[in-house]
Amino acid sequence: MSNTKPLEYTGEQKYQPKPGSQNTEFIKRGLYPYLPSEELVKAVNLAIYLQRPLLLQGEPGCGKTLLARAIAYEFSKRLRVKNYPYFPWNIKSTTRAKEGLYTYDAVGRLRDAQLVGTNYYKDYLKEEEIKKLFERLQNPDSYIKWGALGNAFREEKRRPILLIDEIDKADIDFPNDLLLELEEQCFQVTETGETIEAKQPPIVIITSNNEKELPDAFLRRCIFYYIEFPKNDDLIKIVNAHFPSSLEMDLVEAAVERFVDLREKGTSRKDSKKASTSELLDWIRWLNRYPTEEAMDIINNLAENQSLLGALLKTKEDQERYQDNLKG
Amino acid sequence: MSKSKPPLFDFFIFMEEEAGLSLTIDQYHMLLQALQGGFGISSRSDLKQVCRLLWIKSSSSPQVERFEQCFEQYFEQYFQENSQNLAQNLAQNLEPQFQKKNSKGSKKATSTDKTPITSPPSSSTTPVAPTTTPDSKSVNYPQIPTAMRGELLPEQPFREGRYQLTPRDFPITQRQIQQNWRYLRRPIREGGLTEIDIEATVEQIIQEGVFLQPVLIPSHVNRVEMLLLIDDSNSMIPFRLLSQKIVATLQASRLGKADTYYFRNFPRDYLYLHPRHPDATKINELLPKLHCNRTVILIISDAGAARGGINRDRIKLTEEFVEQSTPYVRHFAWLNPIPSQRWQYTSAEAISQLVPMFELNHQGFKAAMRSLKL
Repeated sequence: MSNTKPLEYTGEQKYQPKPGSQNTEFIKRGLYPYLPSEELVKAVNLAIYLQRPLLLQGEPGCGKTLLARAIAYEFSKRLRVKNYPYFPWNIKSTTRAKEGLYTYDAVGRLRDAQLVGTNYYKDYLKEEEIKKLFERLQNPDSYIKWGALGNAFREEKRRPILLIDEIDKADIDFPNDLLLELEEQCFQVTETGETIEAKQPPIVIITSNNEKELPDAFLRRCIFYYIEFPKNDDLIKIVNAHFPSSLEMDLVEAAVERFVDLREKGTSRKDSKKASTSELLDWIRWLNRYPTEEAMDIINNLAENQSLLGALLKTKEDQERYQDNLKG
Repeated sequence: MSKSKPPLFDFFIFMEEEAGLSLTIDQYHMLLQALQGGFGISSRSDLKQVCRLLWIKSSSSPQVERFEQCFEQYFEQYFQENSQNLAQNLAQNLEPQFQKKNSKGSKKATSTDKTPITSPPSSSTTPVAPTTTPDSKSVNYPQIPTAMRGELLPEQPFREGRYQLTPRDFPITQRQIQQNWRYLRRPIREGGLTEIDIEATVEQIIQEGVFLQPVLIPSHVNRVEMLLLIDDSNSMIPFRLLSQKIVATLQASRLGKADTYYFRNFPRDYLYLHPRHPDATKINELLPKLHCNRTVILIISDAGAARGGINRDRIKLTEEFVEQSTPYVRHFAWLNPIPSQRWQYTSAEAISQLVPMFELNHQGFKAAMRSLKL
């Protein structure tokens, strides 16, 4: 490894992005302050040290996905580099393991080869394009498009952060297909015969909503952490981190209290979706537009405010149940 | 603990056997590595947290509770036995481990490993032993009076006394069910032209001398249609969770069509859409709508094996149903959650002569899928 100190995540406030409603840059890049629990910080550091993937589970909206970016942001601040290598890979139901490594544009190559073979290209292409065409054909790598994992393995200077988001969305054999690459930290590009070896062991963060059960062989190699819903005090801290100095303390407390109450009462079925941290923040962002007194009114009369209630409770049954609950 | 044993190995074995965790030697190595890196050595709760991160792979509470309980139990016992020796043991046991690593590693490794050599034994001697010994005492004293009060009852450890049915106790896991649905395939090319036929394309290029356009073909669609019939009589109550799992995974599997109906003891006249509701479909209206080349029927029922004995009516009516539906479907299979040794001398034995019957475990499920696929 490099001569720098071993990487360590702290989650400390001073390395967090400073949010302001004006700074659209942060919102665009999805950068928010992130307040991890002590245990989560330890889990991250254990995963970094052991070079094992960290598997995160938790309710939707509890900040699983944002963690990876928060780590990357902290590292870039601490090591004073502009962009710490961070590679997100969003999994879809059709994603295959190989796409994370690379895709090979065989059709493009065939097209180029055909063009050269027919000699018509001189009529259609400009000088520069012809030059590029021949360069492409001579370099076998030029038809390779690297995926997130491929890019992470090719990172030379620092240990890259690789986020595999919502791994449970893919086919049930998908995690198994990734095992070898994650374990050996190398793969082969079959089209060119080239072997790509990880120069710096990547820090792998995997999130799952547990929609599908993950294979044992895969679980065995991971460090598992379940992100619990934050306690009241932590919620207040999270809100304050996101809206520094723009909200009154009383208002935040009242809003969080109302929110926790709604979270408990507003679920008609045992397994229905509970309002999460991200929804709380959306709600507060809305409250932030009003002066404190008006905002207080909104908090107190939440049940009557159908449109705002919809930001927190996502089914009609849940909403009705909550309204009944307040009346009764 | 003998000195030749690697550190915490007894603990690892204890957790593997007692807490019912499926651990492998790789996970023991992960713990050692973590300890060398300075994780989990500052206190007992710290160690617990690291073990939990490395070994527990779900958020389900029974497993976590069991882990916590076994963890505490092990250390309570351990400290009672030899509270003073621990520090020495740990130090002695950890040291050869480091030396081995050092001799193997390069100069860089020695420099990084030096910190753990000095830190883990010293830090583990001080906090682990003292903080936990008073702890274990304070826990033990209040336990004695309660044990005295209940003198008449035989002493029983908690985990043996109470049995909890957790999903991992099923003879087949959700994942295994999911995988097995996949065997059930009758792929037919159908629909829009979405896939490239590489071979035909190459052939075309050879013939025409130039690549004009790829040859497209429709993609594969799974055309198996499944009719899942689930017995919801009282003898099937213990298996309700399992059949729910099967239904849930069936809906997510990519079969051409999958319908689930319920019946009690044997299908007769009507099939119910929900286990506890009266919405029903007439069997003789349902059957003619089935696609006879594609439909397979899978029945989940104990076929009378749970209660035992022979019920001639049950056999006769089941036979009637099978005869009635045979012309409309391709295959039948029966999954019986009762172990096959217990089918003997019951209605199930007779019914298994009519329909291929399999025990509802991994092998049986696989065999059933194979028989449906033919």
